[in-house]
Amino acid sequence: MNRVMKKPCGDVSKFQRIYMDLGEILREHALRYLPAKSLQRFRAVCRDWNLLISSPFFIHNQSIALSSMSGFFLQSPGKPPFFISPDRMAHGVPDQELKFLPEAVDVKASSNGLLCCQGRSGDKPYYVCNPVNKQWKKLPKPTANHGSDPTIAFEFEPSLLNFLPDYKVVCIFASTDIEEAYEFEIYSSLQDSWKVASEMFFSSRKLTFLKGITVNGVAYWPTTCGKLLIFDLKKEKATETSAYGAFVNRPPYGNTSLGMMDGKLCRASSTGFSIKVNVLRNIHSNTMPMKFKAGGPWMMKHEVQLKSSDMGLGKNNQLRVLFVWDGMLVLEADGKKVFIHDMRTLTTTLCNESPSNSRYEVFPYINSLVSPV
Amino acid sequence: MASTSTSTLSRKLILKSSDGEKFEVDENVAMQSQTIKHMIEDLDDINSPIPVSIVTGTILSKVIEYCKKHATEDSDSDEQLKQWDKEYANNMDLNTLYYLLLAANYMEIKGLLELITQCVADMIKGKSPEEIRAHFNIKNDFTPQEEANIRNENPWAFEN
Repeated sequence: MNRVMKKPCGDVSKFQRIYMDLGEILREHALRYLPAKSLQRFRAVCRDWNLLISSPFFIHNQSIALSSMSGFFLQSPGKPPFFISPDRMAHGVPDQELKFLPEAVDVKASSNGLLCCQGRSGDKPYYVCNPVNKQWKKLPKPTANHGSDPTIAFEFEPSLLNFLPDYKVVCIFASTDIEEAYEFEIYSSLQDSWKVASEMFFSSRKLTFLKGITVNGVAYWPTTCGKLLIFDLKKEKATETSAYGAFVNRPPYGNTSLGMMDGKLCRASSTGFSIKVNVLRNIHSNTMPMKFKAGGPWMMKHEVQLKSSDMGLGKNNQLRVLFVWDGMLVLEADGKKVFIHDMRTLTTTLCNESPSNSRYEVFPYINSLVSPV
Repeated sequence: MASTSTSTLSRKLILKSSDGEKFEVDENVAMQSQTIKHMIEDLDDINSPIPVSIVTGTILSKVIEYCKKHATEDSDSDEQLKQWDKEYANNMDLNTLYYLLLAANYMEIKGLLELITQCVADMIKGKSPEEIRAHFNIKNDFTPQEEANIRNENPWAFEN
């Protein structure tokens, strides 16, 4: 590099050299920001790139550097999952239906490129997999009974210093010993075992939980009565939100969906083709006022105005927010068409069209090369 | 282009671009470049212009704009800074980005290098291996059989 820089040379060769240097700088610094699909393709560029992209150290670095969203896994009850993305040339997986797993599964949660799934037969074991490299791990059998349709949280955080994947699965289940109490069992990949937490959560009535999400080490489970149960994965502490009013609409979800925006829990709701995204104020702050003004614990953060004509829809089509995650909105029109709206580029892409009304669970996904085992 | 602020709190340095343009900047702004930091340590006379020999004035002014923004920590939140970075990078055409990438690499400005590489990664992620080779002047050193093997290993990565 420096050698070239110090020696001034003629315009033509300087230009060529600059582009050669660019190739080198890119290889060194930019490749790790690329999604897995681009990388698998770029292995065919030259021997040097192929070697680099296949090396374990690079794979580790990519799983840390990659931060932009790739798309979403969608699944409706009893059906195989599928993957949607606004850019299918850059982001993708070889087997979106997860047929590489030993049995048909329900996706339960996702985190930083890994999916946590549950088998449908026998003991209904949990699997953690990466759909890019088809690597998977069957988790050991939990010690407690999680019920037939367990509510779980899943968090995987790639760390620079830790080459072993460090993830946790938390399951909330009704206590068998104490009535109207809920317990938490936590699987840790580093220990490779389940452990029931000492923390318990008491409720005055029986709770039914909806699909939860995990943001920055904190799991949020909405309940059918419109509250949120919050569980801190590090401190293993549970809190409820009854003091703060209803967090989500009663089911069926209405037009409201929980998600993540700017690293915070958020709530997206739609009115016609206008979508509002509110983020949760700091709920752990001791200085939090007992009563909130308009908006309650939610703070208005983004507002998106979509045009029905851009989406090939009429004004009377019903638009619903299925999910919001890190600048991407998953929208459904008339229960048939699924769109992704990118809030950064302000583009809306039609990603799926199904003939019949399906109910989708949505899981955010980034195209990481990380190995779950 | 040169700033003529008379603040006595911070020392001023003069950076000189490859095409002779001079820029007066605060020391803490210039020190974000590891290369300049090392150059200053070896310098006898702090008042003489520091040559940034491969970077043209147009590009250097953009580099300084970035360093100035990132030298003042107090005024902006992380979120605002990120937003600024995004707008900064979005306003560049491809050629400027490449020259800026070379400058950031040569001047060793970590934040700028990361910002630009991420931006370039975003632009090339949908390209084919052929386009990458042609664009960055990379020689295909595979035998036809080797290349075919790689493609057959992951056919899904080559389909839309």
